[in-house]
Amino acid sequence: MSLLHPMLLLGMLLVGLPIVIHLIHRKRAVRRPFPPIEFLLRSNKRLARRLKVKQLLLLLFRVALFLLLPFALTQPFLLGQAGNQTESRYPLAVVFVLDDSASMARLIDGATLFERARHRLLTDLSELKSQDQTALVLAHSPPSAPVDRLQQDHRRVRAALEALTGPTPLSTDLPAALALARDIHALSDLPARRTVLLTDNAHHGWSDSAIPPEELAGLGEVEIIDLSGQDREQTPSNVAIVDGGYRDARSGGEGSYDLWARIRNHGDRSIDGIGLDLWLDEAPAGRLLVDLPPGGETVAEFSVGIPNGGLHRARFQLVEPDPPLEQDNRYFLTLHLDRQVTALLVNGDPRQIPYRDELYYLERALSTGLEDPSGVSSTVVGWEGLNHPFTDFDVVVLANVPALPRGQVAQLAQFIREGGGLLLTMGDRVRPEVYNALFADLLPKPLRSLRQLCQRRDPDAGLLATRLGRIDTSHPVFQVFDLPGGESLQSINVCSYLLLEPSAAGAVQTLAYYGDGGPALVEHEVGTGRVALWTTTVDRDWTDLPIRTAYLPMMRRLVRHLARRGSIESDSQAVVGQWRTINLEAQNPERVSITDPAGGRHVLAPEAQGPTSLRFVPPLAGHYQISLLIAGVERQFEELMFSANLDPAETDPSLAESELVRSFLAAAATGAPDDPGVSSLPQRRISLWPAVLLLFALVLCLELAMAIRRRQYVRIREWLGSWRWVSRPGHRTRLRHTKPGGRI
Amino acid sequence: MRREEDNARSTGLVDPGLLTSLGSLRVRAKQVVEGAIAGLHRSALTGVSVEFTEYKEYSAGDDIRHIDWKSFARTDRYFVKQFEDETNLRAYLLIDCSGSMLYGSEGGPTKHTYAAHLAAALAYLFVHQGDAVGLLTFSKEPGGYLPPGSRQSHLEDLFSLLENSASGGGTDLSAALMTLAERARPRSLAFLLSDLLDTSPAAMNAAKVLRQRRFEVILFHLVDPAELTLPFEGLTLFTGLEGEGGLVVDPDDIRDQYKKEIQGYFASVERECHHSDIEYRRVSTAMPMESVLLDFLFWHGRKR
Repeated sequence: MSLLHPMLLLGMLLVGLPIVIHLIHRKRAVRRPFPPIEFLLRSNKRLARRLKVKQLLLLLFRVALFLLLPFALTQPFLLGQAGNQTESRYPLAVVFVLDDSASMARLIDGATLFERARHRLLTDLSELKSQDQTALVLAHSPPSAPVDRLQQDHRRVRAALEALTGPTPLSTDLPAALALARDIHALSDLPARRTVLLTDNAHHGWSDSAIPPEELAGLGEVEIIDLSGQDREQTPSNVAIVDGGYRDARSGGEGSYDLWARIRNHGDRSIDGIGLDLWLDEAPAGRLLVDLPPGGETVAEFSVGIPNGGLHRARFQLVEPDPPLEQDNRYFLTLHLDRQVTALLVNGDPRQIPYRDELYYLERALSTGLEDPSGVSSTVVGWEGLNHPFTDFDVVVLANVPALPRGQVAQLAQFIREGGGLLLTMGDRVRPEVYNALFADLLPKPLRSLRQLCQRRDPDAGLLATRLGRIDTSHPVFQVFDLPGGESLQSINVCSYLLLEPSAAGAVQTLAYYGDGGPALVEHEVGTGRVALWTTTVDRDWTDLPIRTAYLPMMRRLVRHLARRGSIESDSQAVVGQWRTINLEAQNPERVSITDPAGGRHVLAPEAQGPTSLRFVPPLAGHYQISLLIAGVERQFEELMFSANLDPAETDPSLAESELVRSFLAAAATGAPDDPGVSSLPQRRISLWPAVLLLFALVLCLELAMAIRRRQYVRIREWLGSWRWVSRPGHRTRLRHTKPGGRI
Repeated sequence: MRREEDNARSTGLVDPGLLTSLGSLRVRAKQVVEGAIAGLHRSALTGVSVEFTEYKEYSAGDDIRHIDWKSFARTDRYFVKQFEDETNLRAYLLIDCSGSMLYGSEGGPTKHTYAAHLAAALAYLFVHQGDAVGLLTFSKEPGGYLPPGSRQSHLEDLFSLLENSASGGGTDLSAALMTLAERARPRSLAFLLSDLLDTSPAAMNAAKVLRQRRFEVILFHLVDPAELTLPFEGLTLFTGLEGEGGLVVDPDDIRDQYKKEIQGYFASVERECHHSDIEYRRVSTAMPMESVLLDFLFWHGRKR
């Protein structure tokens, strides 16, 4: 409650006046001798209680009068939320900001938060005055404004609201929506502004925004209508799939993949045995029962065999009865399994006798020659006749290559920086000083010198040679060797290898060591590509690895890893509502068509000589297909297909911290117009003083009724009773005072 | 009562307020009596004397010439001889001179003034009929006493005692009545003029004793109009005239209850008098004295 003239409250100090008057009046009582005082005392004694009550009531009434009158004069009022048309005020500019993000699909008592928000908004709209101006902003990310100009025709906002089919699967950006509301307000010439934000007030709606609080300056007061119906102490329950992916199966079998999903329990109670279904190409592929700790998450993993590779669509589905948010129980994956890795094998030591050739074993390990879809397509060239463009391959292997022309080295470096892979294997033709000079930017570590432990044909080679020691089994290349039988890798003999110069720890990762501590396999990233250095040979000159069972899986995994084909493509997953870059792979299409999960077709037209990529915002969760129109022919590019899922943040229903919201609102209030009426006008002012005055009049009547003297009452009654309707023949009936001498 | 005042004005009777401003008590008494007699068709008190002789114990005021010295020699007590020719009628006037009798509402006589004038008128009437009349004033204690006499000089003494009788203080009606019972001869008339605010039962018992001694008791109950109606307004500090304390009250608040209380008391007094064969006459000090006297004479004569 507020007061228009609070200083007038000082008038309440007069409340002591009746008591003072009573005391003074008592002192000024007329002294009158009266003989039958005994009868007065007796009467007074009989009436004492009644008189005391009457006196007390009179005192109360008089005190109330002195309290109520100053209070009424201060003109108290309340600020209400609605019913503005009943209050006289200036026209109002109202921008409604409706949160229609994915989290607004949460069900409470059978209705979504979005439906509640829309109902509330329509109610508020109907209570505005006809001269008020309205606009509508939707608070998904990025925000949009179906009614982007303030206008008196409220039907526009109503129609826009009724046209909304429901909450979008997009994420929330409340500060961005408020910034848009501020821009709309800026175009209005009405001084009285009001911004009403209807939202579930989830934490991510405020915290994930790129808009800092300062950018909301000038917006003014914001009324937040929190529809979540929850208090800050209680965390609502919700189970959601927040991430997913696939990778080569740890078992190492060809065509075996691990598909995993990360499930998060946002509630504060543990959930046991919730079902997780895997659908592969719209066919059920398995079910797992998952236990979820309170507030924690679990990764569920399916191992599936997809021998034919190719493109596949996978979907995880949580089996949850009455889920509060259905959309986050699904997760879509697009599996690209048919992209055979192509490798350029550069032979540094070609021989006429095949098994003495440097690449004899590697070539056969990468491609068995049988029907082998998961194999690596390799092209073998001699180092001296090397003229193939590196960009035609996913990975380049330089096996015991003495040197390359500097031009080719530069092309190779460019190829790697753009995502290609390079495997360097050593041999007797490699000179450390040459390599260090030639491949300085590519080598994970500089080469130092040869460490020769024995000769291959030495009878004591078994004793003198070193073996593989510690290996990083968490790395995709060596994951399979952590399984039973994987220890065979450690049994290989290595007679010679090249020592590496020590270097500062950083991006270089040593994946395997020899038994004597020397590094066997080191890797680092160059640009977006990778370079691996195998410090011994890939043929039998320095090691017996090529004739070991571990050779084939190790080399295949290493080449696939360098070519980055071993796990989910980083560009095959997208988030709904967020920009996604589509790499057109130098196809120079005339047109790009994207088909969304609902069958909607989005046509993008890149410039003729435009960039090799396009940006697109997936509007729905699901699988997307992309077709390119090239030379008048439209063809679907499966390798460009991707899937989009909800922003994981939208699945978290926890409320935003008060401090966070307050920081935005405080920033919004700064720089607002100084008109004192502006801040108060957005809310309805309910005047209380008429009611207080009415109460004052009522108390006054009661006081008069109690204080009036009997004799005065009798006189009044007599006077009133003396008026009569008098009728005389020939005259009209008139009201006359019948008492002699009374005035008519 | 208002009607009676109006009647007094219409019949030319003397207003009680005006009466007090007239000359001496004799003149006033004469005026009242003449006004009353003028309204009578016959004397209400003629031919009622009793002829016998007797002794009466001497009391202060008795003529010492009438002391029977022989009886004194025999009994060592003073007795006064009573003669047939002076014992037509003996009347005693008992005037309440307590503090409460000094009250008179605005514009009117005090109750004591009214009682004194009424007593003077009665004395004047009795003496001029040849009857003897005595006087006893009282308050807390019995005051002046004048034994009955029928001479003109006795009347002067009586008037003098009346004019100097106002004393104030409390009331002990029973003591006064018992004093009269001791001093007065039985079969006398006793006129008690009081406001009867001594509500003790002893007073009424003493009146009954008097009656048992063959006194004919006539009670003039003097009431000020304000005592009946409590006409005051505004917060008032009421104080008693006989040391009863005070009360601050708005008369409006208790008027009805007060009326109920006091009228109940008056009714109980009247009822007691009726049961004790005491003639009760409530007299408002606003009433013309002639009409009170006339009324008394008329109705008393009829009663006899």
